[in-house]
Amino acid sequence: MSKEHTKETQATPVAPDYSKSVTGLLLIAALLSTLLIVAGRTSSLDQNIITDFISLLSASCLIAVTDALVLKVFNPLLKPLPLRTSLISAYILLMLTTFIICYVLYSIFQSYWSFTAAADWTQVSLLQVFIIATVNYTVVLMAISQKAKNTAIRQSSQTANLQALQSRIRPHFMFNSMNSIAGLIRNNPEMAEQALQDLADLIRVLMADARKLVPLIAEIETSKQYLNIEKLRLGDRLNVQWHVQGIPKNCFVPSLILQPLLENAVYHGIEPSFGGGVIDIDMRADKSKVQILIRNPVPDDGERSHRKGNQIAMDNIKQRLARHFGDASSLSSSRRNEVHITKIIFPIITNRQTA
Amino acid sequence: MKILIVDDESLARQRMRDLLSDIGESEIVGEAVNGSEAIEKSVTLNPDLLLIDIRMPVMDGLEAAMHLQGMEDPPNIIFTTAYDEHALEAFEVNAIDYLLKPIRKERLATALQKARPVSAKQLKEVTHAADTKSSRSHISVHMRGRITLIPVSDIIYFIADNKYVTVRTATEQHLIEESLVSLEEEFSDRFLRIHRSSLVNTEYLRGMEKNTAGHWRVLMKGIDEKLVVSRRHTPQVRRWVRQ
Repeated sequence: MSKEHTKETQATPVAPDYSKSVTGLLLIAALLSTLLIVAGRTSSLDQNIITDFISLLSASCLIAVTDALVLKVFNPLLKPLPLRTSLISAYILLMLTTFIICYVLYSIFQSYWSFTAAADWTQVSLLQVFIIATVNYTVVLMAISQKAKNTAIRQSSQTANLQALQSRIRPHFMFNSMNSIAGLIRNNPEMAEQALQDLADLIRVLMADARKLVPLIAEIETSKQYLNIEKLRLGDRLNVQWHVQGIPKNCFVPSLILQPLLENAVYHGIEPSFGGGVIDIDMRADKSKVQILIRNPVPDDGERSHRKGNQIAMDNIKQRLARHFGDASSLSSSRRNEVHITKIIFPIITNRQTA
Repeated sequence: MKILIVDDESLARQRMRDLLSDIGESEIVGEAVNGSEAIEKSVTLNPDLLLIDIRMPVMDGLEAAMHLQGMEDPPNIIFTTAYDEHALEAFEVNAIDYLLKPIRKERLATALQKARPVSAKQLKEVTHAADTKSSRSHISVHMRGRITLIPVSDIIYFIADNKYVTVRTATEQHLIEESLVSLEEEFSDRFLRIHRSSLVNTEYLRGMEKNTAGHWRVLMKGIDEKLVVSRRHTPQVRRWVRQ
């Protein structure tokens, strides 16, 4: 999966998509180029400057709209070209369009324009054509590249989300659960149904934005669903004890602060052990804060865990707690008499938006 | 074909039974929940084929397969796994058959058709690639068709003597045909070399004393025997004992 993504991001730059609507920007460009041209003529300061400005502006606007149209029409031809050729062709195309429109307008309104400072077509108008075309072209390119950048950012953040998701779900757990459910379908369809629903809910939570705050009781529910699925796989080897006291209904926490810790407890404390053990979750709240203790056995030396520690989950939870609660929260773990204890403390906040 | 199903998850074993009965033409002779039970049952039930999960407590599937290679007529082996990124590549490279969970009936049927034995060399490469752990959890002793498994944590020392290595636990003593050098390499995190010919389990190290002749010996938990420490290894052993 990750390999494919690297490939994607390393792909050679392709020609931009000119069909993206940039008409609005081109109209602003028209104003800009008109201002530039008129400013270039201030030496002649004649009284008709306002008429001159308006006529130029309308001409520029006409060019801008036509440019947008031309780019849209020629996009299918321009897009497959190599980047450099494509950009140069687009520029020539805009130049031509501008030239043609200017020439036509000049021919039609020759008599009218003749009394302005621009007496000769070749002297001034070519410069106008150049200015208008260049300004339009620059604006189009800027708009397109900004859009491309935004898309790239969006895509890379989607990739990051996906990777975060993968690091949150242990593939081993996922596929083993599916295997269990496949086995249950014919022997115990009701249990299979329940397990599939639990798995679906769990995946939904895992796929949701982890920065979001959720009610602590919802996080407990997610954790229970997770443990139900594990119980299905591990049977008598997994025993869970919940002690939950005085948790206010409107106590909010960052999502997934509890489930990954329980997953660690199962992965390190229960799965590698022949006889399994008990995971004990003790959760209590006073007026201002919540304390959660998770206890799981540490398999003895004979069943030496061949599993590397999962510091990633701990670090991730620590970071998210800190982001929401600052110094008021803590996450720590200790080991006493073959029991691994994970301790979380955080203040009670009753508003989703806080902190 | 006689099949032994090995998986620590009961639902996974159940599914395998269902699939095998759908396919037919095979007889399930038994089930085991981990690698060491798989070895015990292989010896008593003599299956033609093991369908064995890789990740299991006590002893994993790869290690079990490795120990089984010492049998005179080892069973064919097909591994099953939910996900093992590194091991799978190695399976492909070494042409060892494996099934991905959730297991497909057709895929299982094909695998049964072409089931074949695996070699120790193939297994070594896969184990290396799988990166699960660096050392065995058990030492296997093959004798007259029986396989005795000795948990490495029970072993007090290895002493080399000519071709063989003596393995000593608190209650038993066995001879194995392995080299002390490779044992030292494999178990370097738990065993300490105290002499050209002996490795001791640091967990059992109790202390050291000098005899009347001025030679150092180590005292081990669980046995009265005192083991000679060579001059060259004395500083290292002393450091350990002090800890």
